[in-house]
Amino acid sequence: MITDFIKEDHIKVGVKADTWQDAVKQSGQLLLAIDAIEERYIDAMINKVVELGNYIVIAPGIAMPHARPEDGAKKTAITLMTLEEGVSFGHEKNDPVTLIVGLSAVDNKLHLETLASLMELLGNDEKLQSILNSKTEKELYTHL
Amino acid sequence: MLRILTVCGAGVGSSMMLKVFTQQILSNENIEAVVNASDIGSINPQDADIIITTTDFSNLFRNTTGRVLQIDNLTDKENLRVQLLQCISEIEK
Repeated sequence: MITDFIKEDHIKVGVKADTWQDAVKQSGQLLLAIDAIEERYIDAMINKVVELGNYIVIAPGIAMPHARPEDGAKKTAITLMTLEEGVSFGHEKNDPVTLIVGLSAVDNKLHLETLASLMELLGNDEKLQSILNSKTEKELYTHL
Repeated sequence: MLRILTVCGAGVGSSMMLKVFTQQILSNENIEAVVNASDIGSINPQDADIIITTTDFSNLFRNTTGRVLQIDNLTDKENLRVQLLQCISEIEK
């Protein structure tokens, strides 16, 4: 179950972000708020994109910023953040991004089933629209 | 045995998703293959018959002998299935 893993306090809706860096940083701060990461993990999330490109934009409108376990992940967690206005990651097909799936992983196993279910959920256009249109965290949570 | 490598930047996110979806697809089709996920820094492109990755890395594998599949949308498993099966049938020819 996705909701075994993503709780209401893992969600933030209608976030204002000016740039992709700002969006990733705020997604990191949400992971920090639930004590899933050390603060240095946030910089690593941004640096991965600077180093390796915008491969974290995993689908139209959706980015999944994350770093490696040794970059300061304390526990495995997934957060969801919707943006008030889309930001550009410089991706030729999938910009603008309005949904940020923050990920911290302490190994490469625990989160897989949840992530796979989440991908299938987000692949359903109707569900995705309900998530993007949610006005409150509580409302978004009910769509998971 | 077919060797498939899924690749992303950190080795814990999209490459793992691609690995899970690829295994699901292959098992539904009764195709045997070794599927490994890896980060971009620690792969050897020569070790794979098929490399599956998100768009941005594809040009890093230009010298590989394997085939490279670019997946722009991780939520679209059907697209992955179609591309993967087509790729495998071309290799088997």
